[in-house]
Amino acid sequence: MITEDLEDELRQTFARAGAGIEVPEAARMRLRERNYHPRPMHRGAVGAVGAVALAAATGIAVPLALGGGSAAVASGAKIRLDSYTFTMPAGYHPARRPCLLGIGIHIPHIVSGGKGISGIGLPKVPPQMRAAASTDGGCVGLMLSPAYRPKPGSPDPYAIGGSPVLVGGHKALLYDVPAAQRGPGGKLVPLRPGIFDLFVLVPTRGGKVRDLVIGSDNLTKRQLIAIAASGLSS
Amino acid sequence: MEWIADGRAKRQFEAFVAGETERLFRTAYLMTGDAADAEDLVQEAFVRIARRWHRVRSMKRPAAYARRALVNLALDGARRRSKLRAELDAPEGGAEHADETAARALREVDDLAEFRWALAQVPPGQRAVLVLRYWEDLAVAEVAEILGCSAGTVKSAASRGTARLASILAGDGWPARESVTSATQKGVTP
Repeated sequence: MITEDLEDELRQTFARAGAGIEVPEAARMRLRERNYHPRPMHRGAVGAVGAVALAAATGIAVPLALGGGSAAVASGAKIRLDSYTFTMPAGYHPARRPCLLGIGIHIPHIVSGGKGISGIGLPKVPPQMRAAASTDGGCVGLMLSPAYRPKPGSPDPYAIGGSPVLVGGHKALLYDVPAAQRGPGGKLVPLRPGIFDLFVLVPTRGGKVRDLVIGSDNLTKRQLIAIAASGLSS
Repeated sequence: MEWIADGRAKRQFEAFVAGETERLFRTAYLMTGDAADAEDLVQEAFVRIARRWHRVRSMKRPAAYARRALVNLALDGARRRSKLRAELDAPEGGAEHADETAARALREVDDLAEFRWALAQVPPGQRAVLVLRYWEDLAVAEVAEILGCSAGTVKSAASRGTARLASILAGDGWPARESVTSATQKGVTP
């Protein structure tokens, strides 16, 4: 067993090592401003104020394709998008109203003629979105980008500012979504931090690819990645 | 499921978050060795506390509850309980360094980033014991309660963890500098 002298030495070294750890300011802000006490399943007010997402990087307000149609969302927390079926974890139920504002904010901007993707030929079709919410306030939204054929030398339209992560066996980019919402009087109000988008590259027919965008609110990055990995493997 | 509905409780919770963020983050960082993981852990701990805030706020030491939630989350992420117990109960044999040797290795630590890196190499269960005992300064019995094991197990895990830590610090491996630089860039100063 450890002597008292050694225990004192350990305490002193831990005190020094711990004191040198500073909480990054951005992390501190996220931790303080996160909504830890959501009201489950009452999110209609969000849509009522005419929410928009604002891509802070570009400063351009972009409309969201917030799909309200729950008909295509199967019960049993299976979400269907095109030919893909995504299985949500237990406790998640299809959300009749969108519970998420920021999901896929890059996509409408790109589809509506964003710069730097000429030659890829994205159709100008707003993507559909489906959402699921848990009773404890977690929200996951899914959206499929239009399919495109990557060309040598052409940039990945989504590979701007995201952090590369692996989701199961899939390559993905994780974004901290900077977003704002149009409040009463048309004033833009910054949304709280803690909204994330995960762009997972999925193959489609004829050598084309597309991104399955999985956004989350009231979840940690780790929870989002875990949900995405299990949903994609199911 | 409880939610924080009234304004007073909400304000209390927000004050609790503001007051505990730094301490919990440091503990989480020592447990994980990574700033992003630490942030995730702290966030998950606050989510867990928010769900039970009406009970937690009436406790004598809500901070202790928060610490326990954080440590359990960290260990859940690292391994299942049974594996953790197996690791804590592993036979002696790794304690090849005498106390004096270990104390010397600790005294010679002048690069705290190196110490944090070495700590991250210690198996999670032993690391949890070291962090709770010597960073959080908890009694053996409290650590045992949090980890769900006996006091004797905590003592032997502390001994093995310390020996392992000292062995790493003594030269069993200090990574390429870029790894440390990466850690410091994430908000950790040496």
